[in-house]
Amino acid sequence: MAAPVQASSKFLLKSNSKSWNSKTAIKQFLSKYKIKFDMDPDAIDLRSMAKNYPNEIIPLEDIHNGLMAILGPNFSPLLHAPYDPAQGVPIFPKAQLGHIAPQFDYVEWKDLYLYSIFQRDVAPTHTAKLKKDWDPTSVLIPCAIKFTMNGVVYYCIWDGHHTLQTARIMNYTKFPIWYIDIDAIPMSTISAAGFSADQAGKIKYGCWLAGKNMIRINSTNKRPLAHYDKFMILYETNDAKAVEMHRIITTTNCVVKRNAKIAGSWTQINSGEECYDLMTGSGMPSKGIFWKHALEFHRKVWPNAPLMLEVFRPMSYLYQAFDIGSYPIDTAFDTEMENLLTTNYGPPEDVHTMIKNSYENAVIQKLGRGRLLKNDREIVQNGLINLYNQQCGRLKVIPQAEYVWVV
Amino acid sequence: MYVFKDPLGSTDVKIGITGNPKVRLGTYQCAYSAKSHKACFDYVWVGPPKHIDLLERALKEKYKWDIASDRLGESEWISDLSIQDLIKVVDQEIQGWRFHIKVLDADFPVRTDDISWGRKN
Repeated sequence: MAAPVQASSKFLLKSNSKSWNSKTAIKQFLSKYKIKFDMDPDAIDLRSMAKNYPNEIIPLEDIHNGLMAILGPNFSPLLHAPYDPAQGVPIFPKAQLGHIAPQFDYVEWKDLYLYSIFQRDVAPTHTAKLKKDWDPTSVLIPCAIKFTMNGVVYYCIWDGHHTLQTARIMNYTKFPIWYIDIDAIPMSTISAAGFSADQAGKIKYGCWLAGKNMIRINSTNKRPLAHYDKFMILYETNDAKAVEMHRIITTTNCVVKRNAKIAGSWTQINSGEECYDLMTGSGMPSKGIFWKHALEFHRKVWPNAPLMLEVFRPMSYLYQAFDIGSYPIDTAFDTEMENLLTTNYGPPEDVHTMIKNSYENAVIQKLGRGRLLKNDREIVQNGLINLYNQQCGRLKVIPQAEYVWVV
Repeated sequence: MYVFKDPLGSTDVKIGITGNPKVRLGTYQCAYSAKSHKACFDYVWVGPPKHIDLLERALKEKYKWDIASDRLGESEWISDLSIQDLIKVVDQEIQGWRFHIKVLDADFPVRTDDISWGRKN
């Protein structure tokens, strides 16, 4: 009786998929919200979404519905049988009920082991790093397989080994472990997976499972924290530097964003931090004064464009060079630079690409003189100086270009 | 970059870009008889391809929630927008990005017979 039901739901799935359209589904989902937010396959803007809720706390079900709008009917939970891990529903085919669902326990240190075939080497420096930042409330539960060999119970860790070693250094007396009980897996499952139906095969099966899960967690399905998320978490949890940087962003009418889609969006977090950290001519931290100047310039010249790091970064360094050399600079300089850039190039993309192209051409044809430049930032910064000297030159004393070419 | 309103009477507007306007208009004309409607661009801007491309991208972002569907052929139709309002927005974008884009020097709407510019086949 099972086969016809499967066939019919398959048919329904296909027919639903045909009529389903992501854009329409997203629009329908967003229509329920007063404050709209970005919904892209790589990220749903939860910070903006949260503004629609009292206390800015979102029910996970609402986020799930947002995911469904993007992913579509092929991801519906209804395609799966209900699963309650607390009831001990088997996670392997043909397993006995109630025995092999992952379980939690506080385990003695003497029972914890490392089987090096499915673990990476231990890094003392990483352990030291964890200790430096240790907080018992931040400990993720390490994962293990549990099996018995020659009457001895082994909990072999497949994730969280450094956490456990650091906990040991912190003199923990019990260790939280999330484990799968390999002893409870029936031999039929072991042999179905291609291992011998004996104790040795069972352990090999456990190792295979642990190795697969270790790679899943640490590599295949690892999603590194994006710079945007890291910055926003630091800012919203009151990290002093992030708060200062955010203040510069808002006072220059910019906005921190994951993707550069809207006017004034700042997405290049690391480059912004680099500009914020520039030193003044007197050797003091600038605390973003050159960066702020560059952002003000960017927003004034291209009010509809997202911030472009290839422009705001060399501009920040250029303003810093004025300060280091104590070169006088006035507001007319920015106006002159604006005219030069918009007349010669137009949008910010063209500013840096065309300067870089002209540099490349000058180097290949040996049309310039001076030290070859190390990176794109230097090329654009030098290009801006050359452009000013060649097409304006009102300020006679400005920072010198290290490579001079006709831009 | 060209825009035109729905020839069949809805309040939707289409945005598109092309380096070969004559062929593009001919393609549109294929969809209906010239006796019913002569395919035309209601307004046209010209400029460097990269600037035009960025302008189109900026407009699609601006109107992303006014584009009803991303199905084939539907993703360039903006709902309930007048050509005049769109022209104002395009002008703001050109100024705000400092694109080297100008309005085509022509009488609008532009039809196939009016076109002597663009890339040759």
